[in-house]
Amino acid sequence: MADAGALAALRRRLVRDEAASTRSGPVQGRLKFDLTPLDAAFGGAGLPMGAAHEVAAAAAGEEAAAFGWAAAMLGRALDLRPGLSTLLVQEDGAGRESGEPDGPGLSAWGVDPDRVVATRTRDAAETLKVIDDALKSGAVAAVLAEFRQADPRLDLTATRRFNLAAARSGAMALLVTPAPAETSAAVTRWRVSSAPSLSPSRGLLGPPALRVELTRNRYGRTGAWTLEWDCDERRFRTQNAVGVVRPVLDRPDRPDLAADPAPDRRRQTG
Amino acid sequence: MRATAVDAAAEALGLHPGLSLSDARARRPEVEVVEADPAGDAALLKRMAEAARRWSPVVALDAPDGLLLDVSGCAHLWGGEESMLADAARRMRVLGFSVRLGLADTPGLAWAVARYGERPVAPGGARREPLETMPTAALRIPSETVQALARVGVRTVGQVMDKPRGPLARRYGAALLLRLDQATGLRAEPLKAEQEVPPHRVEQRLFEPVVSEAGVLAFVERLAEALKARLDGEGVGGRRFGLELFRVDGAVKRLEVACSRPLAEPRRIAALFAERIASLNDGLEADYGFDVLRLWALKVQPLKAATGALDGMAVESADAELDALADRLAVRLGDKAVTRLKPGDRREPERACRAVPYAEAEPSVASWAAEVPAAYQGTPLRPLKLFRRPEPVEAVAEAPDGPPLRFTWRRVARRVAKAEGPERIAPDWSEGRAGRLTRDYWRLEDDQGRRYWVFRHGLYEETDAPRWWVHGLFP
Repeated sequence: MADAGALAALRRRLVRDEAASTRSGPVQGRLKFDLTPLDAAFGGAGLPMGAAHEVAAAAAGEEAAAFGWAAAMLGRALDLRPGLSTLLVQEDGAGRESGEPDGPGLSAWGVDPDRVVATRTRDAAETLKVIDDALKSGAVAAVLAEFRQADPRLDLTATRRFNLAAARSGAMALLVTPAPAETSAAVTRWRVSSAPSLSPSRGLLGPPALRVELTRNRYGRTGAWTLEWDCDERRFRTQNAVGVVRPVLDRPDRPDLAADPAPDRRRQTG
Repeated sequence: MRATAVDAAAEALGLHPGLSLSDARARRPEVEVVEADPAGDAALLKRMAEAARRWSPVVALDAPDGLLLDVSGCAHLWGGEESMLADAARRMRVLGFSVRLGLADTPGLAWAVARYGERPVAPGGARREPLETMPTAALRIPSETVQALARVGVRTVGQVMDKPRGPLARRYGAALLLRLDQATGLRAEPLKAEQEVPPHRVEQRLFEPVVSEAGVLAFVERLAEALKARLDGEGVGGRRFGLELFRVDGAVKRLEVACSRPLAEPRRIAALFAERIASLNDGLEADYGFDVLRLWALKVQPLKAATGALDGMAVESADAELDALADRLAVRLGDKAVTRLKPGDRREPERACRAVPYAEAEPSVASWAAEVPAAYQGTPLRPLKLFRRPEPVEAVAEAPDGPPLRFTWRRVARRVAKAEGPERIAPDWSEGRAGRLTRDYWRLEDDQGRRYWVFRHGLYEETDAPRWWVHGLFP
């Protein structure tokens, strides 16, 4: 029947269009984490900038962890688009709930505070509109929006809109919510929680650790990692890699060695 | 008690202002008496002055019952002086006022023409002739002077003009000559306008009132184009714009927008007003429509010449786009809701980072690196999220000076696994220490890896029972 031919033609067209919609557009650079296991999940190419990404707290009380992961991604996005700034959007109540982004803290997470424009909105509807406007404007490298609660308005339609606007301008949308949305067209969806640091001493915090779970990835595999943020290097490390090395030196009777093996070596040579 | 004003019906009965109440009642027992309300009258006159701004932006009050408008350069918008006055008369009559109008070269002459003239418009240049036949009261002089002049047989202004000036001034005071000179234009009489009148304005008068928002915005863009021509001529751009919409029934809608850099681009000006209109709770309330639109540049600043550096071009345009976005958002969300983060140059964590309204943000002088070190050995020292107001916690510490072992925040008990500190932050010496306590900050990690920034408010030598607060969260 002619119908079958038409159907096949439509299918081919759908495949072509879909491929075009994910590849085309000014996707200026791809965001890499400089961390093999994480980048491997994206086939080594990194994740595309011009799209919406959801970063959700894995549990109540993990909002700061989710924000930290989003901030680190934001910092990378700013590196990729020098000269552009970023827009932080926070609902009025969200600041009281989980605190307001602070300049010194942002710079520790790789975001230059001088390139941040911070806005407060009255409700989620306004937040969505601000995100949309900012993505369309082409004036920012990325938009990081923090929602006060998992809002029903942040749904398939809204996220699809963001994807389209972002693909056109190349700006990245980072949607930080206290809980994953029920439906979302975000190209990657992350669930983040804190992880205990591996610092051997009670009196030393050590680098902050995050448990990061990639639950959806349109560009590759999903996965879960426990990562450590190194704010001097401005990149993540896998926590277990350090964990494997450290116990060798970590002896309960000589805790100082584990913290810093360098002095010991000096003593041998000198 | 005396009558301060009478209506037309009472006047027909022979009553007049100044008559005592008992006298009036004796003559006509049926008169209806309403207490005078000078404050209400003054307020009404003010509102009329608002409405009169449709004909000219320079409106001065002439209490108790007059308005003076400087219509220089406005009449052509109404098709001439006669039709402008006709329009004013018709509108005021529709609103239920009886008005007398006069238009002349000087405020004094216009005042006289409105009250004693035969025709409302005194021909330009003629300053003495219209006055000559008018009674002396047309000179805006006190009634005692009028009576004193009448006693010597001087009843018209013409007669005053014929008299030698010296004796007149000696006998009736300098005020008489001042008023005469003001009316004839020998002495200037600047109007004291109700509102400040910035120099940059354009306006549009419509024969068919515009009702729709889109229509208003289309006209705003056209006005902005005309305004741009003026601003360009002076090499300036506007930082604040005002839009006045005059509704057919006399109501005036006034809107303002601000922007972060001098602006002359018509489309962007119109876009800002579109945001402003969208943010109105009741919309434009156009009802019957607006028939006069006026656009002002309320505050102007020199436009910076575009820098010609080739490599700087991309950055420049990105900045301009960011400005445009921030301006739009500031109009929609409020000036204070769109901010830039600036180093606060203070030790107190809540003041170390200031959120400055975007439009007011200048390039940073203090640098972030000069602030507290954000990190030490790969570990952040300052929280990513800071509470504007620290939240109280119940804490149990091992030692008086030590970190908490356990603490309860937001009704959840948390066990401290690791603690780093203390970092002591004393109140700024330059602002006086009275009643302000030193804080000992600790970075804590609970057994799930969540990190908090808590502080003990007060050393033990400062207070007996120091309290604990959580000030921020680390990821």
